[in-house]
Amino acid sequence: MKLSLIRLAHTTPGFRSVAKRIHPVWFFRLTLWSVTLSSLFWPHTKKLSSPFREVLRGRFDNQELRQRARYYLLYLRLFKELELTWGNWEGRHGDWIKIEGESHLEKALQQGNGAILISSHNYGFSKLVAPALALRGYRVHRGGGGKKDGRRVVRWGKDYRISWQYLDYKGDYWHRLQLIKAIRDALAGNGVVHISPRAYQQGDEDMAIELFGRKYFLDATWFRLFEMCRAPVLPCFAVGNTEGQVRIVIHPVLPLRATEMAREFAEIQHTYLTKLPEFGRLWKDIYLSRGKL
Amino acid sequence: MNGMEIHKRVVQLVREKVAGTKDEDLAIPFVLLGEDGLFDSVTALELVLAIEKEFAIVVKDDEVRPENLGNIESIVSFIQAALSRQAQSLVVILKPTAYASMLGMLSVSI
Repeated sequence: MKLSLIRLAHTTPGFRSVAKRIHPVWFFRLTLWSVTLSSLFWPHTKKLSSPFREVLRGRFDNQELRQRARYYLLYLRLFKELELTWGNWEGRHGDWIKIEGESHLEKALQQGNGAILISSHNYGFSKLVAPALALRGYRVHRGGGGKKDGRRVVRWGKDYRISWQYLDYKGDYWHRLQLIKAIRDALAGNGVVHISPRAYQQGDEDMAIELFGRKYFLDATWFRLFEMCRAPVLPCFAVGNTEGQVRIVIHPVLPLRATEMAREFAEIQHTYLTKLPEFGRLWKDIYLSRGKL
Repeated sequence: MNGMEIHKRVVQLVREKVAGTKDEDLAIPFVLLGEDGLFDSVTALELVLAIEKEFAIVVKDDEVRPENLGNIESIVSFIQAALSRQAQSLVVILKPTAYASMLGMLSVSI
């Protein structure tokens, strides 16, 4: 049962006007209901949540683990689909997106060196950070690879470039250099840059972090760049609440030195993964690597 | 500023960024920036910013390419071209005909 209510309602021409009128919270409830049914009767859905349950067994009692596994499936689905609603819910984003800790960002921008928001790559709804902050009047740049520009226009609306920019990264050295130069220029203009650095299986020992018994390495290049730019770096996590809203939480500024910055960011990331594991999308990787440790 | 002078100052900047750079590393065919180059992307950015500051030029995003910044030789040519472009635009602004055309544009917009 892979019927997606959000995808159906927000992308099918005849249904769009109806979907516009339904409150975002109702979509959240309907999707939760659909996921619950799916996990009861559909083996594939059960299989999807098994790494989550296996890794976290013992951390929560059975009832809570079952509940969290249900929400894990829900957020896995919403992560892919929530951004499809962006254009359709124009004008009512305030109903379902809340920003916490905005004062940290405002204070950071007062220094005039711009601000860097960093999110965990495989956690939460970080794709919504740039468009949501742009709606609040910030000049936001989001760095990274991803979809072709045409598809972004379909998703975020044709005027998305006016309020926020996507800084493309196509993988090679010269694109990387162009990207980091564009980031540095954006910061020099007191802009906000949002990045979700990946964690790798190999890397610099200084950048090592441990997540549930598995060692990962943050990308040292990003943290060296942050240190070089001397712009304040703030962790930023986009999670959901049980009422169907997305909470974008901005944390206070991290230390300036790259290694300390990475360590503190890793600690915050670990706290989120421990307290709100249902927003993580790395459980399968952790589960599969367990036998290899 | 002639080519030799630019070359000397670029070499000095490179040496400041990577201590202990040998002369053979800076030979013309040697790849300075790039996948197989001497500099990783962050150090390369530091070098680009230092070049912008030292020669008072702006390196646009689309100019960050191997043919402009791949080795010492290409960096020197790129700087020379950028400096001559700047000088030309200054000449255009100082020419009386340029003033006349600017005034013409002004009157049209009024």
